[in-house]
This record gives sequence, structure tokens and C-alpha cells, in this order.
Amino acid sequence: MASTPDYFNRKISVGRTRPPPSQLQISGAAASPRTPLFTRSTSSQLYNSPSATYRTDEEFIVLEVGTRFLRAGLAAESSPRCVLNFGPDQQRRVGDYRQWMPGHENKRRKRKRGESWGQNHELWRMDIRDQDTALVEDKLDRALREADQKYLLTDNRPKRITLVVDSLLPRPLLSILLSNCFHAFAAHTITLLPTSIASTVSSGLRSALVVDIGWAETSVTAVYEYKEIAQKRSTRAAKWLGEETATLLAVESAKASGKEKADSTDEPSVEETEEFVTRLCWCQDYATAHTAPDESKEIAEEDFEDISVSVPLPGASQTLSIPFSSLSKPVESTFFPQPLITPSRDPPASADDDELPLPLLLYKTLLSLPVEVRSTLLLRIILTGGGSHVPGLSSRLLSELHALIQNREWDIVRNWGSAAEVMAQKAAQARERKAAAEKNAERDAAAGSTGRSAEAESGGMTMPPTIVELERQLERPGSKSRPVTPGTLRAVESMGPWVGGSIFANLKIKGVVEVDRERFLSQGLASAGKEAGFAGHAGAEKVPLAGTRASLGGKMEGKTVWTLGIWGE
Amino acid sequence: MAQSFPYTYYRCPCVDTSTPTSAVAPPNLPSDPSSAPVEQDEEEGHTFDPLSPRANFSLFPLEHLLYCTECHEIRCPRCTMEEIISYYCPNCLFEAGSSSVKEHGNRCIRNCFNCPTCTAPLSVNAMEMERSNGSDTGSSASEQSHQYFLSCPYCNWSSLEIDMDFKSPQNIYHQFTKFYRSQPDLESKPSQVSPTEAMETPTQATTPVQQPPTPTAHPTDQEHYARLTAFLRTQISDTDTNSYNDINFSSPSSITRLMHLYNPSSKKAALQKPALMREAQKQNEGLVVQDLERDQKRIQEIRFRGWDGTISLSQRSQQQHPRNIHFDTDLRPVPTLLICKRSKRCRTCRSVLFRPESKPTSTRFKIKLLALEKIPRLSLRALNAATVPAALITSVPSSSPLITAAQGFDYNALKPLKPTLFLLTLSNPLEDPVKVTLATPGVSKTAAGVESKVTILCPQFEVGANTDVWDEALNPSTRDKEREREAKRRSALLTLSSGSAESMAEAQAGVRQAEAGKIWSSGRNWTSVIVEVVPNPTIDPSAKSRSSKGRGNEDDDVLEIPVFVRMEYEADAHGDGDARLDDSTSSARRRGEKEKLEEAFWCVFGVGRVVGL
Repeated sequence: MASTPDYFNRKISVGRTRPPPSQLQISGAAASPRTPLFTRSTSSQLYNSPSATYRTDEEFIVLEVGTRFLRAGLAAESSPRCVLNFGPDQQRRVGDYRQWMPGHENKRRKRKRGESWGQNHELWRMDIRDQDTALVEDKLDRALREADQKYLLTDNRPKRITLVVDSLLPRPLLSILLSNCFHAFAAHTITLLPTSIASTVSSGLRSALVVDIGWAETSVTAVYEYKEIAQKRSTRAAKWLGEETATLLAVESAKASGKEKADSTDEPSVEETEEFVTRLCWCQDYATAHTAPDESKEIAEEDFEDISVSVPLPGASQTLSIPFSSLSKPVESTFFPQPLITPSRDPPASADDDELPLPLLLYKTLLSLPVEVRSTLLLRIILTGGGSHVPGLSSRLLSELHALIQNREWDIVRNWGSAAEVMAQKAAQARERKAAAEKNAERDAAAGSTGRSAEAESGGMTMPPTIVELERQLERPGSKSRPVTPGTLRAVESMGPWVGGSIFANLKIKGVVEVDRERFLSQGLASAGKEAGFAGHAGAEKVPLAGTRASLGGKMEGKTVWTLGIWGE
Repeated sequence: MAQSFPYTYYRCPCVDTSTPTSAVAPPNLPSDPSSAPVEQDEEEGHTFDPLSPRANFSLFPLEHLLYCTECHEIRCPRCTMEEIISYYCPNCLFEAGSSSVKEHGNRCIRNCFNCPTCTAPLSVNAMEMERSNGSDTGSSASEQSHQYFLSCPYCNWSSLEIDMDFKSPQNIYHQFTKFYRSQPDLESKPSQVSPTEAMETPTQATTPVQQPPTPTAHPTDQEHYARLTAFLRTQISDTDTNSYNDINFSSPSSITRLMHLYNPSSKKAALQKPALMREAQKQNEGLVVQDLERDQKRIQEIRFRGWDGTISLSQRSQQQHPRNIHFDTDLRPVPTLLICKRSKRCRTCRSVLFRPESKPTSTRFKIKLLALEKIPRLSLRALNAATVPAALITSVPSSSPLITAAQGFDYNALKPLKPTLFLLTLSNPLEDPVKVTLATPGVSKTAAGVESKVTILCPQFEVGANTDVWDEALNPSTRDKEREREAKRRSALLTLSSGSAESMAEAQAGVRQAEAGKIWSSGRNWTSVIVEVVPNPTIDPSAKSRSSKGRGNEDDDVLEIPVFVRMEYEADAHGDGDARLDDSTSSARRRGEKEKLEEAFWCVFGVGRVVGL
């Protein structure tokens, strides 16, 4: 019974304010044409069907699994029931109670040789080549069991899981994750939801530029109408910030004890560093960061006297006293390294592709987008992830991005060199043409920022004016209502990916990637790839990309086929 | 390890068989090469390495393990399924109904709260001050205005610090939840965007926003969530009218639905022009534009309040709504988490292994199949402090192996290049005699790379049955007599050689050497053998270079010996578990027959710490 198509569709229909009337019949007829059942009256089948009561009995679990934390809770709640980490204390043997011993937190544990900073606190890494996937499974299994037995206390009712994970999760890890969730919760279905989409959902928007400052990587994802359309990543993230902070603390500790150079005894543990970052780290605003040191001192004396903050690290021999202004240094050097953002020298200093500073990362992502999308996303910037909680970071990021846009406009080429003059001429011509075009069509409010950026674009010859006109014609009436102030950036608060998953599950929206228990346990991830032709081989072109990309509100083609959607590519 | 030396851990074999990935059929996982090699690694024939990070997840103290009598296997928390019998609060021991558990997020809904700073249970206290205030105005008023607050008996935190007090000492939880519901301003309540209102005017989606979003206070998580959900609900119900377009006319239920269409309603308009699902535009629709001023205020506050004014990571994780809180004034008392009584089932055969009585205050069990009762208990202790013969004086005459441990032996300082003898004792909880074979890889390493040679002098022996304690006393077996004789001989030697220590040592050495192939001592249901451990500082060069950097980890020098235990015994044919279920014929058949059973598992002995040369 559990696998008949109309059974599942019926369940989806109940629980909304009004059941979609025809879904049941349509999908039923599509699967196999047959006579309707006459055992019950049609109205009761629709409104009082047994599936309705069954539906309410179902339990919706929402999980968000990241590199550092597992968030677990039930749908329709505004915050997760628990946030569990994968730190070394979670990897101890059963019966090893040393973490409760007095003085345990005062001991500094050194990381093992060959381990990178904080590696012991990670569940997995995206590079799975030298990773023990079985160990990942062990950690995950233990965390899921703890979440279930301590916080969720689920019973025997049938369960559905909404799993919020990164869209770039490697398939072996995804397979482990799915099998562990099925194992731990005995759920019959798991719905996968990408982190960026979930963040967008929980902010109330449909399109957004999601800046997820995670542990290992910061990802900037352009989400348009609940679809991921572009993504860029940088390793400047919380881990980098932690390392920078640890260096700062080590130096300060050495200074306090009168040593010239920091040695291994000064190095704080990962836990201490995290504690410090969450408590005290902050981010300078744009004006302070961009004034010369002596000038900034003057400003400081007015209303920002540089007091020193005492930092009683539990593992340190003495309480450190650090000037408040230097508490912002790690953030500065991690996310906004000035020489990389505004290179003054020639040839300009440039960062590696994988370690772009955040403002540049945002700029480059926006640059790669179509103009219409770009103008939409400029007003919908969402900051999420563990690293985004540093106070002052979002305003700084916005003003840095604003400065970049002012400085460079939307020009893909950074330095035209000798061709600069030619380009200037061409730009002038283009501007004339554009001015002529503008006489005919009046600007509307929505195109305000679009126009500005289009102007810049046409300067770079990438945006002939005809396209602008076309876009104006194609613009939907709904978009006109958007309250837009031209030329501004706006950050929108999001409640985080977990809450997005909770809303998603609460509204009972059918996800694109739904993994069925029986099918997965018998065939694994391979069953998805095969049937949908999506394993990345030549057959992939047959399936329209747009359909599978949609992650919200999309309809399944049929129950017999499930795809991995964005994870299958 | 945190346990005191020496300790014993047992390995549950479930890692090889019942892990989630191994449940997924391997041939269909071509894209997942990781699962296959793991299974090969863990196959029989490979030795178990207690140093591997994975070992931490499969090793358990014997007391934590269950034993499935159907599958004849050890069962750890990982290979059992749990079913909740009853929920209760660990603080007030009050049993909660399962429906209220779901509703309140499995928190105690009476008066139990935990301290947000130190997690100790909070107590409800009456405010004394109020009385003196009341005496000025009138005595009747002072009687009424009794106020109560929560305070922590351990760290002196009190709910007055966050201006939270209660009218009555009863039902604090409800007052607590009300306290937060009364705070948000009524203007921006989610009820304002009621679904019905939006349904009536579906064109609202396309009308421009007339009022700019009023600058209201930053919404709490719950408000934000409620508004957003309400908004999305109305959007979905509006746009759902699209599904009328593709109706299947052939079925009667669709026709009834179609009839609904012709009722005069707003849906008609929607049919002609499907409304687009729009995004949230106002704060009462769940859109919160980031307040950049707020960040600056926070920075200033951090500056003034410093380290002590901010909350730690562990405090934050305790909070129910940990988003957007930073200072100690944001802390809220945490209602105590409920815990539950559970029964445990074997994942393989689904038989119940463990079932407690449902009352929270009861400590009895209906079913309890502990590994303690089925798996021999292995223990290791040092034979002596300095040399072998000296130990004999203290250790040998005592009949129980539990007293044989040398009193003064320092497990935290095993000397390298020096053979140390340990007494491995195996006691049998079964009612049948057991044949045991022990095996060890021979060389055990510490995490720092110090190799130790481990030799079990007598790897094969028998252990007697766990019969009635009085059996031994009433009809001593021949073996017991033998042992008695030996003990007599030893004591005679002791008295003989008590003159000088040297001669005593010689005499002892002559009589009682640890001999290969012979057990050291045995009793009714236990046997001890000698294990020789020689910590060897000749370490492999790669390990040396690593350890020479001197980054001493806390467990780098711990020596752990993995031992593979295999035991064979003959039990009644159907096992003692279902004896009472069988009918008379089978029981008659059973009487004569014996079944050969076998049990094998790895266990790990934590011997001690190896000190440097």
C-alpha cells in the first residue's frame, strides 16, 4: 500500500488550508487508468479520507548537517531542538567521563601531527580522498542517536525527514548521510533541501544572494526564484578566522609572559579560540578601516577610547589584556585583506581563486549573473553561517561591496591597458545610443539599479541597449510592486537554513529530491541516477535541467522516478 | 584514558555487520567506493587496532553492553532499537503524557528550570522585599503582591537579573511562556495577516506596498517564524488555484470539485489570471531587513561589558532559542528536558533485550539481558611491583584473584625494556565450563609510537562453570584439592625461607616461575594466566620523528593491549532462555542433548602509561 502513487499524493494534499482537488485523480490516472473506488462516497474520500488522520500522525523531523554541527528538531518549530557538535568530546569512548572531571577545560589538548587546525572538530571534509568515511559514519551515527534519544524523543510513528545539506556535498558523503538518517530514525522518506534555498525560504524571499560563512568555506550562492543559479566559494571562512585569532592570542600571551616569540605553550586550543571569537571578536566599519592609522586614532579618541579587555582563557596561565581595537584584527585579515581588495601597486596583488576576500567574492558572483538577476539580488543579500555572527560584519561587507561597485562598475575586464582609449570611445558611443533609446522608453523604478548597472555593462560592450529594451518588455507585472531604492544594497535577515527546512516541512511542500527508504536501502544512490538518467553520463541531456533544479513547489513527474536533483549533477 | 588503570573494554562486533551503509546493497553503489574497502578491512583475520579513531565508537565497558540470547551476540547501544515507555522529568519525577511532550518540546511543564549559566536546577523563591514596600501603602496590598522568582542555589543567578518574576509559585512554566508572549507589540502580530483576509483579496499580491514598513522592534525568532509561516501559507493557498486548470474530467470526484468552481467566489478571478506567488515585503510578512545600527550598538556593548558580560558557547547551546543572543542579559531559564524510560530491542531479531518498569520512580526491570551475565569478565592487574618472586608473598596465597593485585604498583609508569608481568583473570558467568583461547597481535603500540611486546604465557585454558558458591565448599573437586596442596607447599616454603629475603627470593623462584603453557591459578569459575609486557623504546623512525617534537598529547603514552577472546562451551540444546516455552517432548529430548556454542570477541586492556627512558 505504501508505494501506490495516489497514497502519497493524497497525503500531500491534506494539511493545507484546502486540499488541491485534482491531484489525487490526476496522478492516479497517470499511473494506471482504472475505475474509481465506490466503497466510500467521493466527498468523504476527499475530505475525511483515512489518510488525513494518518497524515497528522506523521512526524516531520528536520535535520541540518554541516561540517561542524548537527541541528535537529521538529517541523513547525522556530528553532532546532538541539545543536550538536562533532568535537573531540563527542568522539570519546563510552564510559570515558573525563570531560566532566574538574579542571578538564583548563587543559590544553594539542592537535595531532598532520592535522590541520580544528580538523578534530569536523565531521567531514569536502575532499574525501584521504578521509575515513567509516569514521564519518561513526560520528554521524552517534550524533544522530543523541539527537533522537535526548532531544527529539521520537516514537514509533512514521517519520519524514527534511534534510538540509550543502548542494556540493560529495556523493559518498551524501550516501552515508542518507543511510545513517534512515538507520537512526526509521523514516520512510527523506527530502533533501540545499542550504542556500533553505536560507532563502527562512528569510521570506524568493531570490537572494546567500552568503554562507561556514566553517571551511564561505559560499556565495545566487538564488533566483528558489533555484541556485551561480555559486562561488572561498576558503576565507570561520576556520581561517579561528586560525588568525589563535595567532593573535598566542602573540598576546607571549607578550604577557615577556617572551619574544610565541611558542607552543601560548597557543590556545580550538575551544578557547572559538569561545573568544563568539564572545569578543567584532568588525570595524568601513570608515574606520579605510582611514589612515593616525587619523583613526583621532576618531578613536572622540568616542571610541581604546580600552583593553581582559580575556581569561581557561587554559592560559594568566588573564590576557588585549586592546579592544585589536580584537577586530582577525576579522580584518581574514575577510577584508586590504591589499587584495583594493590593489594599489602594479602589478596588482591578487588572491588565489579559492581564497578571494569576501567583498570580491560577492562582486565576482554578481558579475557573472544576468543584469536583471543582479539588480534583484543586490537588494536581497542574506548572511548566514557561523562566521556571520561577528557584529559589524554585515554592514562592513555591504559597504565594501558598494565601494567595489562604485570603483569598478560592472566591468568584467579589470585593466584595459593600452586599449583603454578605444574602450572609452566605444563606451561614449554606446552611451549616446543608449540615451537615444531611453527617450523612447521611460524608466521604471525596478530598472533603476538595473539601468545603472546596465550602463556600466554597456561600457564594457557586454550589454547592447537592445537587450535592455527586450528585458523591459519581458518584465513581469508582479515585479513592479517591489519597493526598490535605486543603487542601494540591502541585507535581509534570515533565520538560518534549519528554520528554512522547518518551514518547508511545515507547509508540506513536496521537494524535488525525495528519497524513498525501500528504494534507497535496496539500491542506494545508484537507483536515482539510473532511472532519471542523471548520473552525469551522456543521457543527462534528455531531462530538462530547469525542472530538476527547482527545489520548492516543483511537482514530481511520477512516483516511480526520483532524482538527486542538484546533488546528482 | 580517564578510567583508572587497568581497565577493560569490550568491542561490539556490530560495526562490521549492522552499520547503516552496510545495510545498503553494495553492488549498486559504484559511485561509492568507500564502503567496500571498509568492509574488507574489518573482515575476520585482521587484527583490531585500539588506536584507530574508529575504535572509540565500538569499544564499551562490559556494564554498558547487552546480550541477545537469540542471536548469541553482544549488543551495544548502536545495534539496539529503542522504544520509549514513559516520559518523565528527572527533576520532579513527574510523568508526562506523550501529547504534552510533543507540544512543549519535551520540557517539564511544571516548575522545573535549569540555570542558564551553570545548568543547576533552579529553585522558586518568594520575594521578601515586597512586604516591606507594601507596609507603607497598606497591609492588604502587601499580602497580594507576593512575587516569586527563580534562583540558582549554586551560582546565585536569579531571574530578577533579567527582570523576570512570577505571580504565583505554581505553574511557573505557563507564566514563563506567557511572559514572552506578552512582550511583543500587538501591532505586528502575525494574526494581522490572517489567511482569510488575504484570500478575500487575492489581487493584493500585485498592488504596490502603500505603507513603508514601520520601524518596529526587532522581532524574536518565534514572531519572525510565525509571521513568515502565516504569510507563506496565504501565498500557497492563493496560488493553489492554478491546479484547477488541469482537471481530469473522467472521474466523479473531479466533477464534484468542478462544481465547486462554479460557486460564486473569488476563485473565478484567479482562474483567469493566476496570481504569482510573491515574496515577503513587510515585516509583518516575515521580512526583516538587517538593522545595521544594531550591530554597532552590539559592538559598543561588547566593549563596555567585556568577556564577563558575554555568554559562553556552552551557555548558548543550552538556550532554547540560541539565535541572536550574545550577552548575559539575553539568558533565559531553561525548562528541564524530560527524559524517558526505554525498552531496547535487538536490531537483528527484534527480541526485547531490556525493559524497565514504566513508573519513573521504579528501578526494577521486566527484562534485562546483560552482557555481564553471558560474557566472561576479563580483568588485568599487575602481578607485582618489583620482581616476580617478591610478588608471590602477597599474591599467591590468596585464593581470589581480585586481591592478587599488587598494592603499590604504579600503572602510570611502566618502565621501558623491563618485563612486567600481569595477571589476566577470566571469570565465567555461565553455568557451563568454558574453553578459552586468547590471542594478541604480539606487538602493541602507544599513540606516541612506543612498541611493546606482549606475550600471553598460556593462551589456551579452561574455566570452570559458574555453579553454586556452596558447591565448592561442600564437595571440592580434585582440582581444588590440588590447588590446596600447592598453597600448602608454598606457605611451607615461605615459613622456611623467612630468614633472609634473598634466600626467600631464590626459593620462590625455584618453585613458582611464570611458566609458559601453564595457568597461574584458578578457582571455581575463574582462571588466571600470566601476560608479559615489555615496553620497547625502539620505535619506528617515522613515529620517532613525530614524537620527538614533544607535542605531548594526553593519551599518547597509554599502552593498550587488544586481545581476541574465543570461547567454546556446551550448553543445553535449546539454550536456557526458551526452556519454559518448550513442550514436554522437546524438553525430554533436550535433557540428553548438548549444543556446542562458540563466542568470539575483541577486548582491549588499558595497561598503563609508558614512561620515557
